[in-house]
Amino acid sequence: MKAAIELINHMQADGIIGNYAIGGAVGATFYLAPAATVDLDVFVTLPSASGTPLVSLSPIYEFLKSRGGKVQDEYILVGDWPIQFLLPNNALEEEALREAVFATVEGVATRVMTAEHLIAIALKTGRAKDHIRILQFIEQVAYDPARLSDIIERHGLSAQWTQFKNRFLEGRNE
Amino acid sequence: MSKPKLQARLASLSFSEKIKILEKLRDREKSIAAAGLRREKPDNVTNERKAKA
Repeated sequence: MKAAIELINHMQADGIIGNYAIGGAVGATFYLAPAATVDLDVFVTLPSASGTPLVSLSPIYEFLKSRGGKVQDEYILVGDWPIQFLLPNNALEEEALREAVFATVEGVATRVMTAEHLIAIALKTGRAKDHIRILQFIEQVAYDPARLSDIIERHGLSAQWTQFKNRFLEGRNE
Repeated sequence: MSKPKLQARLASLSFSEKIKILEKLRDREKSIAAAGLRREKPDNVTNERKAKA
């Protein structure tokens, strides 16, 4: 993981990517007890994307391939980690990327989405594994409820949140 | 140790320590899949990509 993050930082320093933040299960691990995952989700902005309708992740792939990365479908294998680079495709993901917090992995600086943004994105995505992750955040009391409420309201997720609570949290205190 | 206590203890580890645990979990998953004890998840991975895309 350290090697992968060093390469991503290198890409950022070279201007191939703009801002980036770790999301998904690895991002959640910053706040929670570790749970098995097979890949690393990295949300990125591309400096060249501003003002152009078409964006491409190929500069990222070319950079990593030239440094030993191997493309496997939509992943690129760096060291032992398959990495999926994702462009934020809605206001919630853009905000999550913008407001990510700093972290270090074995002395290497990186950025991780906030717990509340990870929960909101999981709620919006809505797969079974996303629901499980939200429940882990709740069970481990690893988020700020007021901040989550604000994000949920601003991004139009109130109905999904109510539905989630009714389905999974009925009869228990949050 | 109770499960909540263990979870709290694991959650309080540094990100670096947690990543090391993640890597061990991932390697264990790979070994299990390679030994044929559990079906690898090409369908799930494909669906996941579609969901993220």
